Amino acid sequence: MRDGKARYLLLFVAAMAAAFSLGAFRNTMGDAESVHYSLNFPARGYAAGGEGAMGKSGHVIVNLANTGFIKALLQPNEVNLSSHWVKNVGDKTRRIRLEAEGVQYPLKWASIDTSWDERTLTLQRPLKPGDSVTIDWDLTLPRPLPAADIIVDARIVVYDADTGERLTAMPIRVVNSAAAAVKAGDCCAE
Amino acid sequence: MPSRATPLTRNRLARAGLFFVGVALFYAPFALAYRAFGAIFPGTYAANSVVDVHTACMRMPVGWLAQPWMYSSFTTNALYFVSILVLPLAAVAFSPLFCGWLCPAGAFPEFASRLIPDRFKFDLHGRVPIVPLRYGFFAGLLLAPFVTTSICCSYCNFTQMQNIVSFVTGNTAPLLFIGTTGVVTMVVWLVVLGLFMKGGRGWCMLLCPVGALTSLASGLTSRFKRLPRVRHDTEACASCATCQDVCPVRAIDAGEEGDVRVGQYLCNGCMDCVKACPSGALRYGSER
Repeated sequence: MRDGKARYLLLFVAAMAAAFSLGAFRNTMGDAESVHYSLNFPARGYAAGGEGAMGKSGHVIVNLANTGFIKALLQPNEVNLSSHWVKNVGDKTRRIRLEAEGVQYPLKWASIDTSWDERTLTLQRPLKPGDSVTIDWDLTLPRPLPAADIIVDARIVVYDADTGERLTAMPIRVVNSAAAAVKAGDCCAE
Repeated sequence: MPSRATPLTRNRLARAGLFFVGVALFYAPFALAYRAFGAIFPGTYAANSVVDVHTACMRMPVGWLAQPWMYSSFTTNALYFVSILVLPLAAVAFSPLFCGWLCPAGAFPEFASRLIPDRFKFDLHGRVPIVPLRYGFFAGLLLAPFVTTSICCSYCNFTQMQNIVSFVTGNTAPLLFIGTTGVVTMVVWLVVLGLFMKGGRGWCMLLCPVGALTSLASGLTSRFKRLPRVRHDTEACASCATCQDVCPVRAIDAGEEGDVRVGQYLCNGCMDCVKACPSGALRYGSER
């Protein structure tokens, strides 16, 4: 009986460890695949994900060196950026328009919101204070990947669609730390 | 002319039919359940969204149960309560019928696995107790955000099922972005724990948090005799072990002399065992 319980406990713990291991595996490519961002507008300093803000909300770095082995094999040049939310943290209801600055490669915007107009990059329905929307980026880089440390240095800018007021901007960098390492190696070898 | 189909075959055909109903209800491009919800409740997330299986994400809300700082997310979409409240309560009242009858992500690998002869399949039953593996993984999924990171989204078989439905209905968008964990999930869910596992429901048995939560609710309340569950009558049992063989979630232990145990923490209420039992010893209902 005691052996049976010990076996149950052992299997329980082993299965828990398996779940943690899957999380650890996910972590190895955390800043390379399906990167998520949160963007609040209008900008209210660092906490709101405003211009220059760092951290989870306000600044995104995609490091292609950490791409998982399957994606690296099949589709290393497709970068996907998903939003947890693009949220109105102000006190005015607004329609928003988005723009990408500094992106030199093909970029596709997508949203599951029915009022998202992909042609004008405008959300046709107004967002009340506290309301949010999800907007994703699919960026296609050239193959082979450019041999540069910083491949894309861009920003998502949120405008008030009606007044044109710039509400916030979020820096996005696509980098390849492996390229930096190669360069460093070259440098040191020389 | 009388039908030659056995009760078990008719039961499986009925479940296969409900597989398509499940696809129509929950998966884009149909997602009729969420369209109906959005039509009835304008202004909600379902009303403003292009609906698909994620409109009422079932995995994340289960994961949030252990993360109090995420509770505010429940206020953004009433459909988040489906997996943490509606399905467990329905399981208490009727056993986890959603899993056995309506969940396409569970049914697809089960039915696909029937294409592979049993001799090529791995059977966990009798080799290792499944219950501690199932609930150990469930506990791990709840605690993973504290130890490593959340695994709800990265390893989502519902997403993979949605990708298949999208592809079959002519939408190739899922192929535009291939993720490492997505491919791992597809292979484990559909191939390793599906096609090549006896019953085809290895993912349901071991890794699905929605199935674990609903089965937990059903199992904990199965001692209440008035609640309908799959029940066994020892005296009527012929000890043929057919029930054990046909159970897709390997929930039944058939011993000697009618000593049959239905694992209520695993059972998904599919009724295959009830329909396959030649002596009528298994039935779905209250305890007599």
